[in-house]
Amino acid sequence: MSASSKTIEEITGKRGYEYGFITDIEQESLPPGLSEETVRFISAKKDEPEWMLEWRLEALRGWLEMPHPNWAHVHYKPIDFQAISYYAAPKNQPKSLDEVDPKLLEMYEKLGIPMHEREMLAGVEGAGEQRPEVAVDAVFDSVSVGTTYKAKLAEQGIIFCSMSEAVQDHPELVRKYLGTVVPRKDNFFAALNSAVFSDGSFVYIPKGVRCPMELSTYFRMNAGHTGQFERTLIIAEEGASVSYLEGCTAPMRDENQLHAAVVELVALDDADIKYSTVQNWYPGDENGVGGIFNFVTKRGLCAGKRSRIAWTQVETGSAITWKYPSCVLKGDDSVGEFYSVAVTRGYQQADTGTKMIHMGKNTRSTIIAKGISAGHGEQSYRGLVRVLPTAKDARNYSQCDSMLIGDKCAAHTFPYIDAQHPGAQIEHEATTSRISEDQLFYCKQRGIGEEEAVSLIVNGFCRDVFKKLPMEFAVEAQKLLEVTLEDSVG
Amino acid sequence: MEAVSEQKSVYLQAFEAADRLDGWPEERRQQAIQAFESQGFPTRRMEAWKHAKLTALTQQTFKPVPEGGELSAATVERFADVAGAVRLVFVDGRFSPRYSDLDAAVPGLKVQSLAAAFREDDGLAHEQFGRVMDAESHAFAALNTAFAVDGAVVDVAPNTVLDAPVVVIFANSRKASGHAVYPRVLLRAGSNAEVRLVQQYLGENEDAALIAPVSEVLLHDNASVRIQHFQDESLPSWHLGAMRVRVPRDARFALHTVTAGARFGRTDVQVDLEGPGADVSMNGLYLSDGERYADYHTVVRHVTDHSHSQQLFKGVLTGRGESVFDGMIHVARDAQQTDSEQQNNNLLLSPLALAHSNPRLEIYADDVKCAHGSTVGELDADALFYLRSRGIARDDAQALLTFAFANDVLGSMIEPALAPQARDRLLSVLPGGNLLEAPE
Repeated sequence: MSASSKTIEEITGKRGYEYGFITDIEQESLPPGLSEETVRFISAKKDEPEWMLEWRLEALRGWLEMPHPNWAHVHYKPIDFQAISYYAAPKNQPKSLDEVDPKLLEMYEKLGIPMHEREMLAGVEGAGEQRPEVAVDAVFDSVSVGTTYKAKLAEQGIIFCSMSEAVQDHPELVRKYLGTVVPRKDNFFAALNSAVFSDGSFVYIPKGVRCPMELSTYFRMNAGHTGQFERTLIIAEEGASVSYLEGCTAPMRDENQLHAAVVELVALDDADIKYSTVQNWYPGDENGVGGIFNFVTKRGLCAGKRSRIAWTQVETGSAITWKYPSCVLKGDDSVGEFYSVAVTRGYQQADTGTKMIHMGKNTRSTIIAKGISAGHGEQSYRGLVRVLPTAKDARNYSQCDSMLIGDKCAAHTFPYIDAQHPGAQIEHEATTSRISEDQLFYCKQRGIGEEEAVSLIVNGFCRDVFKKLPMEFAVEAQKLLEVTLEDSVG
Repeated sequence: MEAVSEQKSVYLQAFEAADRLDGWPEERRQQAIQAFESQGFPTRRMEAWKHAKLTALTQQTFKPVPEGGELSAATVERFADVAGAVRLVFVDGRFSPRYSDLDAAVPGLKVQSLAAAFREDDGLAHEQFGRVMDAESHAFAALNTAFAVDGAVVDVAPNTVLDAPVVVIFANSRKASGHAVYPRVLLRAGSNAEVRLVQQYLGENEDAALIAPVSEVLLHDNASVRIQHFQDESLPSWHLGAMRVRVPRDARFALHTVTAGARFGRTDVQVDLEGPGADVSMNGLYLSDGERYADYHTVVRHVTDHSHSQQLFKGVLTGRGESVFDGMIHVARDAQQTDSEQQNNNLLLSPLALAHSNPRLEIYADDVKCAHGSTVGELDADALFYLRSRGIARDDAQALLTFAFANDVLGSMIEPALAPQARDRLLSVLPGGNLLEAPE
């Protein structure tokens, strides 16, 4: 058996998923099923104003008429939307951070998510231990259980809170922007989300403010038979800038759970939004049983001149991923970026990519997508670059590289290019390769072990994307990739 | 929906009104019309047809063209003239002995019309007609199989190496206006045989006509087939062609295609590489000016290991022209050591032109080398500056660079006899093309 085939065997073997535990906590949840009643219940539970309920109901009516999309290159049994519970929340809703159930705090501790502001402060006092401050909004099943650093951020006029609070406290902003980037009936899963979304994060950065710390949301699914439907809305006013991180995990269960989120970003003149995701939902076991269906709609609108939106994602989890973070480049000179590393192994499937819609003059976009497929993993890059007749001198560069590890995996590339302006310069390149015997031999010959060599080569392959991640996240992503591919390598 | 179902029955009625054949040809035609009836015309909801605006086509009824069409001298003038070649000319889809030249037939080459092959119960036709191209997946191929009354049947015996090409010309007379023409080509190359084939499409119909050709090409081990395809239909035409090629062990297939005519011109090519050492090369140029729509859909399937494919398609768009290049490379699970390459470059010369480019890879094997690239853009500003700095006027420089972009593909034409015509068509769509003299 050659060295690399041994590696392949090991890689395709059983993997550990260290976030697969279940937190035993008293919860209240809706019985499975979706109807107008469900939507009314969620809305009433959140004490929402009438317009919000109407908005949801309209989305539900739209969703009921939509066919289930089947164009993605993924295979799964039809989802029974009536078998999902659309609301699950811890029974004791805390009023402030101090009241959060200790069991929950313990869980976040276990996941490595800082939920104590003072813990950070202690870190500053402690000799040498310097951790950058990160404000966290923690979403547990259907609700947000706490948001840190709210007061400190409010000093600068930054609003960082859960979506439910935003609907109560800042209805004018929510009403103005909600659904403007991803309309209610944009697609099947966006419509479903619009009808039943239960929480999510809301960020508003006022004019000219640079957000002093990283904002992040941590999504945790805990209850069984539930879906998570969160909605995130980030608004960066003129000249504002923000870096936002998103992380997600879920317990190991034999059932497939649905996660259908919608993320909307709005960047006005000169604003800058950087949105990073490390997605590590439970991917299912080695036989492809269980795991999360991650069907997400993410879209950013560069509404203003010289605005910039960058999506960076590291996708290692989920049984099925179906997401296309997009940029609508409406403002002149706006910039859209997409950097992605997607790993599929076991029986994971991913159909992911991006859309860059060029509308304004001198708009530029960059797409770097790296896919690694191992075991029985199957993944597709699906991207659209569209240049409208108004987009004078638009520029796009796309590069998608796939790496195959093992002979039972698959990698596909489906780029779509629609250009309607002669000034547009669009380039697309794609390659597919594998770790060659030569590369491995070269490393081993220089005393680098096989496991390290694979890690080295894979990390080199993903470097273009990792260097775009915020520092802390980059380290985490690199580790995650090692865990994902390496726990079984050698 | 109603319009479509009504449309279906119109084609079925026409089929029922047509003369019946005997035996297997009739059986296959019956199957094909059933296949068409069950699928109907493609709609824009179908991924492969989402840019195709076929409404006007489906609203008009194109019945098979009646006999007796005559060609003008100007059309005959445009026929590919290759010395020493066997030539089959079809007027409105029917074999025309008057323009054809079968004298040059050499031992090992059997050329006949499809109508004759049906009458003779020819082995090749029996093996290939409606069997290489399946009607289920392509509505227009189904129509062709149901309605084709004639076509070219070319059989090259094993170990035969032909020096001169076989030229097949499908010309439409004025009578074709408002009617449908279903050209058919069956080609078989026996093992170790080598053959070149020219397929030329042209016409003088002044109103819309539906031309839906189908080519079924079967190679045997170590055979070589090189096809020069030139579509220069008259402007009001709908040209929807389909070609299916099977390439076994060590066989070589090359296609050079030019789309220069028809308001709506689409060619679907599917090539299956079915044996180790199979080699496929496809080069194409599409010109889209005025309100013309030019479309290539290629599917290259690497079914077994150690095969190689290469594709280069270039598009030049002006006016309100629209183009689609959709190229799929499929590498099956066991197709290790596949080497596949695909390139699509589009040059947009007008703000109203629209280019769609979808190069796609679907890969199920790990030890492969696959790459595709796609570009859309205008002329390189640096190159333009370079020429201008050397005293060449802007218009001249533009025309020169555009010509150079497209001529890259024209340079590799398989049949040089058609090159001057293709070059003239290119110059006629280029802004400032009249400034350039066609080089000899």
